[in-house]
Order: sequence, then C-alpha cells, then structure tokens
Amino acid sequence: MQNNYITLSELPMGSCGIISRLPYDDKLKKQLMNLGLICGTRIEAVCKSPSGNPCAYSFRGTLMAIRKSDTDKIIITDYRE
Amino acid sequence: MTDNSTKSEYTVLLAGNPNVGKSTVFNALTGMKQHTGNWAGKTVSTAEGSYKFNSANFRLLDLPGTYSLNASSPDEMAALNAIETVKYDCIAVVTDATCIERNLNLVLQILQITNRAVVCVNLADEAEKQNIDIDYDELSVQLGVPVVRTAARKKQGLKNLAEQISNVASGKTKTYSVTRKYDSKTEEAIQIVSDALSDTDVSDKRRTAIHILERKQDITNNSNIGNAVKKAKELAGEDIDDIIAKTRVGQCEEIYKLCVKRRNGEYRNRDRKIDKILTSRIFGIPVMLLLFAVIFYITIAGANYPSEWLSSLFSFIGEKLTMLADYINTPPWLKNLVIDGIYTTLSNVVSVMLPPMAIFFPLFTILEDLGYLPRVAFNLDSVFCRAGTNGKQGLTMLMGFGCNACGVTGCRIIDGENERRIAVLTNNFSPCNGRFPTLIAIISMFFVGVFPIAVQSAVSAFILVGIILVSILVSLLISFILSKTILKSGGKSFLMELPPYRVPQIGKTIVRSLLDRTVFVLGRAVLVAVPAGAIIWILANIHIGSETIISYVTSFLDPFARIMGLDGAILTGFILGFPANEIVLPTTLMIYLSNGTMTDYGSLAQLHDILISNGWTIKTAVCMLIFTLMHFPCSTTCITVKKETGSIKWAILSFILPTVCGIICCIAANLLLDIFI
Repeated sequence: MQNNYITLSELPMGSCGIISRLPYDDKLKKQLMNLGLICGTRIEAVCKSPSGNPCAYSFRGTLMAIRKSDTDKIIITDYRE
Repeated sequence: MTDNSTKSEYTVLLAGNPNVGKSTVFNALTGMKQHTGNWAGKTVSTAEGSYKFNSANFRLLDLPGTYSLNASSPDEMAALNAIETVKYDCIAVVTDATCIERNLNLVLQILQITNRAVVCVNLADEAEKQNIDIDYDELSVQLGVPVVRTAARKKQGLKNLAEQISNVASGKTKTYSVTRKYDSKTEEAIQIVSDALSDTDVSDKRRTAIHILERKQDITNNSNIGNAVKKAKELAGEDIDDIIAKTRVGQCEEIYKLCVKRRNGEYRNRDRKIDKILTSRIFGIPVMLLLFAVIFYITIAGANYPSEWLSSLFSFIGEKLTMLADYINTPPWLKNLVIDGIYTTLSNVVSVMLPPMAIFFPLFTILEDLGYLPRVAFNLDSVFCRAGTNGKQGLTMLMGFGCNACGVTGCRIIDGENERRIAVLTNNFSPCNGRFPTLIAIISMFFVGVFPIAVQSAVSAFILVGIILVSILVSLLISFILSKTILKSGGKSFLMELPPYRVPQIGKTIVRSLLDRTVFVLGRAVLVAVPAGAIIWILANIHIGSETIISYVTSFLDPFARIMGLDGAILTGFILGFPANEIVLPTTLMIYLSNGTMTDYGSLAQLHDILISNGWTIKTAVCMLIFTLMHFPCSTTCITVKKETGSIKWAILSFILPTVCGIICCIAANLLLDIFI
C-alpha cells in the first residue's frame, strides 16, 4: 500500500484508489457528485478505450467513461494494485 | 395531503436514471409499445400513456432518464421542469437494483420536492442473480414512501407497483418525509431560509429551503427569501450547494448500507472480459467495423428477394386496381392521378424501403439492447474529441443511419449546447435508410460487376462500409470546422455510463422494432409519398405548350447538373425527393422514360440498361453516390431540426451545409474523373 497523492489519470488499469479531491470546475464537480463520486469514494480504473482516452472507471457499482482531461483534475490517494 | 380518493383520473410521473428499464416499466404498465434502449437518454421525448387500475384511470408521463435534477442538460431540464410544473398525483421513481446506491441520489432529490412518490426497484431478478439482497421494508422505512420490487422484463411486481401508485395517488397510503441531518452550519442556513418561508403557503418549509439552497438560481422574486438565502450563504459559505450534494451522497451510502446486504455491486467479471475485447486497442475498432459490415451485408443480401416479391405483388394489385377503375368508369385523369401517381409512388417507396428497414432496425435494436452502442461511443470518443465534440455524437450518427429525423431528436443526449448543435447539423451526413436502397442499387449496378456473382453481395457490403466511412470522415471534418468557427466547442468534459451487457430478448426485439420503428418510419414515408406522388404526377402530366412542366424543370437544371457530373433528370429527382429520399431514383427513372408514371424497375439489370441508355457512366454513378450522401435533408428532418434547435436559422443551415458540400464534391469528382478516365 502506498500513501501518496496522484491524479486519477495516473492510476494504473486494474488498480483502486480513494478520491481525495474533486476538480474545481463547478459543473464537472456537480456532475461527478450526482453520480456519487465524492471525497472518500473508492474508484477502480477498469479499462482504456482503443486510443487510450477516455478510460472506464468503476465506482458504486457503475462503470463510467471519463476523459483524461477530467481525470487529470481529480486527485486520489491510497491506491493499491 | 389532500384527499384524492374520489378522483377518477390521476397523473403519474415516471422518473429514473438512464438504463434502469424505465421504458420497460412504462410499456408494461401502459401496454403502449414505446421503444426502449440501453443507453443514456433513450427516452428523447416525454412519452405519454395511460392505464386503468381499480376502475380509476392513470395518465402516465415518462420523463427522460437523468442522474440528477441539476438542469445541466436538456434532459435534466425537461425532467425538473415536468416535476415543477405538471400537476401530478404521484411520482414513480424507477431504480436499478444492481446499482441502487447511485440511483438513490435521484430518489432523495425527488423526495426533497415531494413525498408523494413510489420507489420501484427494477431489475431485481438481475440483482438476485448477483447475490445482492435488498431489504425492501427497511428501504421503505428509510425513504418514507412505498418501495416495490419489480422485474419488468419478466412482468414481475407490476401489479403491486400499480397498486402502490394508486394508493399513494389517492392518498390511501400516507407517505412521510424523512428529515435528513446536515452539519451544524448548513442546518443553521436551512433554518434561516425556512424561517423566511414562514409567511408563504409552502407545506414543508425545511424541504423547500434545502431545495432553494441547492439550486443556484433565486427561485422566487420574494426579496425576503432572497435576503435569507444571501444571509444563509454568508453563514455557511458560498459552496453550500456542494455541501448539500456531498451530504446527500453520504445519505445514500448510509441507506444503502442499511438496506442492501452483500456488497457485490462492483462491475462484473463477465462484463470485464467482454469489455477487454470490445474496447481493446487491437480488437476494438476492427470488431466494430466488422459488426457493422455484417449488419449491412445481412440487410443488403436479405432485402433483395422480399423487395422483388413486394414489387411484383404491388404491380399485380395495380393491374387489378386499373381494372376496377375501368369497371366503375372512373374519369381517366382521376384514374391516372390515383393509380399512376399516388399508388405507384407509394408502392415504390414501400417495396424499396420496407425490406431493408425490416432487417436493419431489428439488428440495430439487438446491438442497442446488448449494451454495445455505448461502447461504440467509448471507442470513438477520442476521434470525436479531436473534432471538437464527443463520443455521444457517434451514437446520434448511428441513429441517423436508421433515420436522420430520429438521429436529430437523439442529439438531446449531448450535454453542451454547441456540441449538440454540431451533432444536429452534421447528422444528415449519415445516409439514412431512405438513401441506402439508392446507394446499394448503384453499387450493385456499377461497381461489383467484375466480381463473381457469389461474392457480389459481400463486395457491395464492403463498398457500402467504405462509403459509410467516407460519410463519417466528412461528418467529422465538418464538425471540426464548425467547432472552430461558428460553434466554438471542444476540450469539454465527457461523462458517459457504460451500462452492463444484457442478453437481448431477440424474439421480442424483432417484433417490437418491426412494429414500432419500421411501422413508424414507413407510416411517415407513406404520409409524404401520397402527396408527393400526386404532385409529381401533375408535374409530369400537365403540358405547357408541347412539353410537360417536369421537362422544363429538367432542361433548366441540366446545364448546372452537368457541371456536377449528373444530369437534369437526376437533379430534378433529388428536388422532388425532398419529402422522401426513397423516391429520388424512381422519379429520375420516370423522367428518363417520360411516360408520366414512376417506373417499377423489374430488375437491376433492366434498370442498368435504362440508365446506360440515358448516358450514365461510372462518373455519373460516382457523382450520384456523392450527392446521395451529401444533399439537403428530407422535409421531416428539416422540420425536426427547427423543432430541436428552436430556430429556423439552424434548420436553414442544416439544409445549406450538406448541399453546398455535395455540390463542391460532385464538381471536384467530375473534374478529377475527367482527367483520369
């Protein structure tokens, strides 16, 4: 287990992390919150699209495609393989 | 709560997240065959149906599927708007038992507005298969409203749902609002606003106060409340809406922990394996292309015979009709107008259009039901991102292959305003089902002759896929240009759910999409074919001097059409085909044969001979393909664009844009082919 902060986009496929900070962008933050993504939510990087962007992430039982430009703005912590 | 028990008609709103089987519930309750899909925002318009229960009549309004009531997309706006303005007796919130935690967010937002609600936990059979145990009684206690277990696809629990809706609507079941705690600062802020509401007739002041604080706009022009909101924000911070939203996620989690046992709702292994292939770097795109090639192949190969049967059936009926008309002494002009004009146009449209549609739509629906289409959007997003839009445009584009009017309506699933407009304007670059027969006929006549007969259908399918790829490229290029000029967009965020794969109910799908989509599109085609047939017949049979009106038009257009590599007859065919693209080729043929009626070509070989004898070459065929891909949308699509964008400006642009592209490309192709051939 490691305890450093990384962006969600840096999370390797198949690994899990805990959301530690949401983006400042208000609209995106609201959208993510309504899907149940808040600080403390466990998130798993599941798979990449053929071009590598967007990627699919699983949280609270849902699989969601998110672009790298958005996952760059989300900070996670405590990730494990 | 008012006593409703004497009412004989109730209004019920049906809300819920996308992909939870909301439309299936709607269909099961009303028996109305509204099409359901497995991607976000399938219910592009609010559908309405009704059903009877215990001798009372229930009017059911299907709201678009949304994750929240934040009004950040047109779908959410429509849902919120309906909840705020419609006088309803009950809201039924459909949720997905396999990921109920996320669904609870919308449930809590709705319960914040009203407790006249029933929560329907759908897809319960799938959840049970995944060992998710839901304590429905506890959930009902936690939410304060009835909770019903359903498996709408298996018709389970629907009677109970209807009964609970009836009980809540009539006031027989007393529901209550559960007070949910926020942190102390937020609580104080809520108190300030709810105090300000004391002199209004709001029934639940706390609930309304939370609602006001979460929405950013001042919902009242009451300065008293406005001041209270300002004061509350000074106390609790400007980001009080975030705190409320965040706290609600926590509330969902709490309720979920209390009511759902065996936390096993993670993305499933089976889906994981499928996604590894269908979205992988190596196989993702090839599998997608192959799948569409196969679908087009089945459509082309399968449509040939029924088309011929239908066409001979129609000419048989036509003969009988002529005999009947003669027998009852119909005046010749009327007989000709009805039989040669209207009937022939109609039979042409039906026999050319019905078979491919009856094959294409069910196949497409099966892909949709499988949950594959959102993966297509996922695979294509990076390409669309570069064009300044997003992967959802890929979905509306695919819908456009069925029918451009459907595709344009489907653009409501796209969030950004400019992105949505781009998708609307470029949708017509996807050749629709009305244009496929023309494309296929020309490919089969002019481009596959050198191949052995056995593989000709397959070669046609591949050429067609090539043409479709060209249309996608053009669409992307135009999107790119639009996003850099008049509709600045791009670099925006993009969130899209990839729903679980579901085994499609093949038998049902075929029947349903035959009945719904095919009959709908066909009905529309028939509606336009009848007046178009009459007009075309009049143009072709009324003489001014020695010539018919249509031949004046044709010779007037001819010089310009020649520059485009076409001829006057073809261009006239396109113009008269404005109501329906299906009649372009038959009309052209009618002009060639100048016999005043649209011609039923018995076989492609015959058609080929007619075209060749009217001066068609490979060049004409190429230019015809190009102009079929790129010209003004049909009248229905134009009207839909106006309706969807709310302005005639965009409708005009959607007309001009592809037409100008088509003219330029045709002229270019004509010049280039002149040099090389």
